[in-house]
Amino acid sequence: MQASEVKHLAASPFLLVEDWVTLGVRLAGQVGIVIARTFYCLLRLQVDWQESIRQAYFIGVKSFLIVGVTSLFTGLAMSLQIAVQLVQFGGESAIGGVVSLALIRQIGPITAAIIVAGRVGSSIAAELTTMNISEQIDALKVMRIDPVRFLVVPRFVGAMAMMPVLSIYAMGIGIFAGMVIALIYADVSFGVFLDSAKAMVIDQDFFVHFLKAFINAAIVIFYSCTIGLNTKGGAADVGYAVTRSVVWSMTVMFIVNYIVTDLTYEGPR
Amino acid sequence: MMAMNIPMERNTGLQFGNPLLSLENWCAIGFRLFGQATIMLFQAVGYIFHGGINWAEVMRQANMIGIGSLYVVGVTGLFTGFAMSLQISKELAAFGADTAVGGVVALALIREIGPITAGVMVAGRVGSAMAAELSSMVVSEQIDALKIMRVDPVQFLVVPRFLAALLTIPALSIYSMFLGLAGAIFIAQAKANIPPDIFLDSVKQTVVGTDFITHLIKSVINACIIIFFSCSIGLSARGGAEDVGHATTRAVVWTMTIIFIANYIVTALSPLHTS
Repeated sequence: MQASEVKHLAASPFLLVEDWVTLGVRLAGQVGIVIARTFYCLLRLQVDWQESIRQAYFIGVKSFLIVGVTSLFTGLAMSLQIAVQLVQFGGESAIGGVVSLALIRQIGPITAAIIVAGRVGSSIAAELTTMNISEQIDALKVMRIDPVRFLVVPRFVGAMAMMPVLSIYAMGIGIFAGMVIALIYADVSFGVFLDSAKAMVIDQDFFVHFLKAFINAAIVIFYSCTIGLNTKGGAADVGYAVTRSVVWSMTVMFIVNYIVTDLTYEGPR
Repeated sequence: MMAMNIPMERNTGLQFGNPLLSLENWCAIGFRLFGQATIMLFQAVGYIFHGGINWAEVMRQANMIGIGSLYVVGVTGLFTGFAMSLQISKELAAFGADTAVGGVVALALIREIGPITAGVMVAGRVGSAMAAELSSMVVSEQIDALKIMRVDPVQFLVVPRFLAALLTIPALSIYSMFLGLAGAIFIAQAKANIPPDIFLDSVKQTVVGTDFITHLIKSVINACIIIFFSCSIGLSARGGAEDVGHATTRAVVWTMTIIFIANYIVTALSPLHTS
């Protein structure tokens, strides 16, 4: 898939839809192959642990600052809206529960995953595409080294180890922002906020949280690695691959997020 | 002209370094980037006031930004509306507050989720494509060729993109909000048995004009952030194919972070009202 192949896309909306569907189906097939080979390597324990730790450092530690800043401001904005609504109904004591439920089940995983898709997914796609266009992947194949085992498996293991940590961290910072907003705008002390959160949140919510974190990590890694391994061309195509990986992984994440929400929703409490 | 020849990333590769040092580095890069984006904003506004805009190029860019993002933004907005309506309508229906569902969902979509979803998706698609395009022009020395011909890259490349983004990103944001509402109405009917007319009555009673103004202000600010940050990152890239990838990653990360921060600032400053 090269940048020159998408020049005709503006021609007709039907052509655009057809092209989008074709690209999507082809990409889904490529992703399926990469997933199958990754699990083949994982089941035979062909994992380079040192490289996995290096990737975990890159994926987790290097994203810490930016995930923190983003979830701080997301938590501030969301709890401000919720607090204003609840104060009007005299429901100050429920602010903690509503804010922490929303952060644990929805906002925490999706914020962390969007930032990881932007930071980690795009840099993985850029790195693998650069390796591909400078014929390093071909060199690996000539040396009879499977690119999936050598490049994808360590990134997958690193992301699986770090994504739940990042997701919990985003949730914690968001809840801290919610506590600050509740104190300033609704005069709710930290103790009342946390009591309300304790009464409302159950273990099931953390299960949903971790499930979403693992699924999002898998989506980001597999889509960006697949796009990186399948792009040929020159310098312009590196940028093109990065755009595709960000767009595809975020779109798929939003869709899967809804499906998981629908399947795990067990009714109001 | 801005000093574009300073490398933006001092430490690449694996360094288990001092966290304070990396924080300092992050702040230094951020301040420099913010300055470059602000200078570019002033230059672009100056060129717009002096006239001489290439409208054909503006339309071409508007097609790239607007039509090209239509499907992605639509799918994302639709599924965001699904997920939100699912949670809110079931919770409220349990309290017998069926008539309030539409208002709560619409308020959240118009004020918060609509602009931020559209902004993040457009940052991922348009911002990264722009940073990639401009940095690959820098890498292949096309920007230097422009400067030799005494054409300012800001006037030639940034101004059309800026005007196109101002035209299309608010439209994309409204479109995302609309599809989100449609999805919310569908889910409220399917999962919580709330008929569409009750949903829409509640929307009409809750949403006021200032909400749409907040929505439009947020989308215009998102447009400015996406264009100026990704263009200044693209134009200050140096090196080869690898650096095109670095520039694109940096553009996505910075535009998204600044969008989240600016979104909170606008929320805090805007008139909040209750349903």
